[in-house]
Amino acid sequence: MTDPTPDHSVVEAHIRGLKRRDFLRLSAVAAGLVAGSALLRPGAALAQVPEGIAHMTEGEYAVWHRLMQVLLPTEGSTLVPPQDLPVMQTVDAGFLAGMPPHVLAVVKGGVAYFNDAAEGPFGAKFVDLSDADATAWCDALASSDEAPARGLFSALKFLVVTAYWAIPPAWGPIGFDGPVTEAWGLEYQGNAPLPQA
Amino acid sequence: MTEHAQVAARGLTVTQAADVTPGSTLDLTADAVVVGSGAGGAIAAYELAKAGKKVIVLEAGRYVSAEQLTEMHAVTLGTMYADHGGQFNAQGDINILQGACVGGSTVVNAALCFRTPDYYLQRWGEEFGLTNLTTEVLTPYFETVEKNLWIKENAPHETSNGAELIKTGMDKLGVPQGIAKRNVKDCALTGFCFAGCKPERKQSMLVTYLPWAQAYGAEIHADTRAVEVLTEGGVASGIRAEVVNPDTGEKVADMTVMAPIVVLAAGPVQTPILLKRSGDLANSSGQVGRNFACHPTISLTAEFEEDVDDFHGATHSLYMDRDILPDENGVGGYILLNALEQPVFAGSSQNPGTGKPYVQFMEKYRNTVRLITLVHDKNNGTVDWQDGIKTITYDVDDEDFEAMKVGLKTNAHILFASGAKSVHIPAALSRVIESDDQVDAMIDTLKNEKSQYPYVSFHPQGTCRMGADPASTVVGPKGETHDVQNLYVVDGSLLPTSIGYNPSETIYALANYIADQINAAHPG
Repeated sequence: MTDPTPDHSVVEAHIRGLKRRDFLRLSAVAAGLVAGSALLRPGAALAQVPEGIAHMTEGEYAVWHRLMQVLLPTEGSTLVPPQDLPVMQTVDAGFLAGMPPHVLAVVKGGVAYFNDAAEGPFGAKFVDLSDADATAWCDALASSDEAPARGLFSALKFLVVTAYWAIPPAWGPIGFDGPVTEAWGLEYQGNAPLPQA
Repeated sequence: MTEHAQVAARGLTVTQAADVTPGSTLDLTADAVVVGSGAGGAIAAYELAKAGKKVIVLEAGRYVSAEQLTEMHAVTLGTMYADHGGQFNAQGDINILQGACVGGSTVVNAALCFRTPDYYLQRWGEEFGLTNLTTEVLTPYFETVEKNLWIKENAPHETSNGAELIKTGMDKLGVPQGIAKRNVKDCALTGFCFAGCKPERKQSMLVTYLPWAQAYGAEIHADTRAVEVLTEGGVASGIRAEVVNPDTGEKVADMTVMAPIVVLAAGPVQTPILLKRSGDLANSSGQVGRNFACHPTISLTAEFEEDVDDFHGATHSLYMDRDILPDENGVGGYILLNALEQPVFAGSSQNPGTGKPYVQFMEKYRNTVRLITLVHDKNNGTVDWQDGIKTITYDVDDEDFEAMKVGLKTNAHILFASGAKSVHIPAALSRVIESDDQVDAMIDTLKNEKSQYPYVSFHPQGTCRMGADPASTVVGPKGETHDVQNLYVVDGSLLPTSIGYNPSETIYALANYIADQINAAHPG
């Protein structure tokens, strides 16, 4: 159990209280996460994702997985539960695998920071927070007055939800039917003829 | 040869990394080497080849044929966009999308075309000495590319469910409506412009100028990244390049193309980087990589009571450019533009709250419509290359943000007039406008904060600006760099100012114009 959720001003005070070098690091993480993301390399969005997780430690996997649960609580909704889709594999193979080593190192630092920094306002790491506290931590970062905090959360959220929506079985409940050229029997038009003078 | 040129019925003949012997060195010669195969490079390649020159085109991205297109945006971002879709400014809050494939951004753009406004041509003449680029001079070029690329106003059926809703709102408010002009022939209304047009209806470079250039003998090398412009005695002499495995990023082979004409068309991000990697070439002005602009956009998402299913149809149908021109100080100006939206983009752009609020929002995805606000921005960014790392330093200027807010207000009023029950402003934590009478007050509260709004840009510009003064510009009025003879630039990096509208037709026309200057300077 964690402490009762602190009010937003307390959480914001903790965020403000972080040292300047922490924010510089956060800023680098936010930029690195997106700049280095090999957004869904060939095949990664499809079912042919590797079975294993190759670019996360066990601890990092726990953070990513917990974040997925917090961002996509589909119980009671029409959406496909994220645990039924290869979301983590897509984050791993689609994003992390393509990052240059120095960017991947920054991202790993950011994931650790996201997990550890929750201890300040909530008394526990992100992975150990209740659903309510974990959600509050994410919202606190998103609504923070500090740009690096917003940037870090936005980047982490971007990777997880993009991975989720990249997987075709996620589309059915929202009515999106996906590729159509073959389904509609469209013909290829080919190259245009040379221009006439 | 010219009289007997034949265009292949389908596809291109492209030398790819898989065709090259690993560890080899390729030494090629040509009359002209063109770096980049997008809007500028393809047109230059065709015009030079048609004039009888042996042309070699080097494209850093991969070749993806129509059959290989997936109509899946996430996969396309990973395979056909710069940095696998992850090209951002240094702050990480502007996603700068560019094609990185044979055909460049023309393959993955939404095909929207506008002529360069007279306002900017006049301003370029007055401020940058580009008195050669008058409306009278450029009009024949616009007419040529419009004819060649089938640039026409959308037919009445070339619309979308969302556009029809937005149209009702524009009608109610008396807002002038622009009908999109696009380089599309017999649009199949798939809605997958940003993933490449699989049935080959978009008249991108992939099915027009590139096969036409090949009909006149041009060679195309994909997976081939130019790493240095070669010079001899201050005159361009060729390109050094590397052939790279597009899946692993590993170098496969070295390549040198010796050519007395070097044409750079790698785009406003990669062209200045190539010059910087070449010993800060053509940069006596210090302007290479400077003056970057990108037309930042914010999309409002409107939620309707009923299903809209705005994911097939014409990607763009309607625009509103009533307020596009800047004020007397050259500041501001915005355009509104409808656009289809698919789950990968919709799912990552809005954050109505973590967890349940987000799930509930996405459950209503088929009820949503988006309307883009795009601002004419200041050229206050830079593109740098240091220790092998690219950096785009650009933040939205305060005055440009105020122009964005004016556009967002108009945007939101149109959406409510269209019947929206709520309008979402994308932000790190989205704000929701519940009724029309809240619009102005809520948008007035927005501040120009970093990492707050998920901007998207499709229009990088500047970085090798064109002008008459060698002390303040990189490229001269005829497209040749001031410092290096026979080194030309034909891409969006030329633009001295951002132009507020989609720049593709401007680039098409300028590339054609500059190719004519090259042919005139290098006859035979």
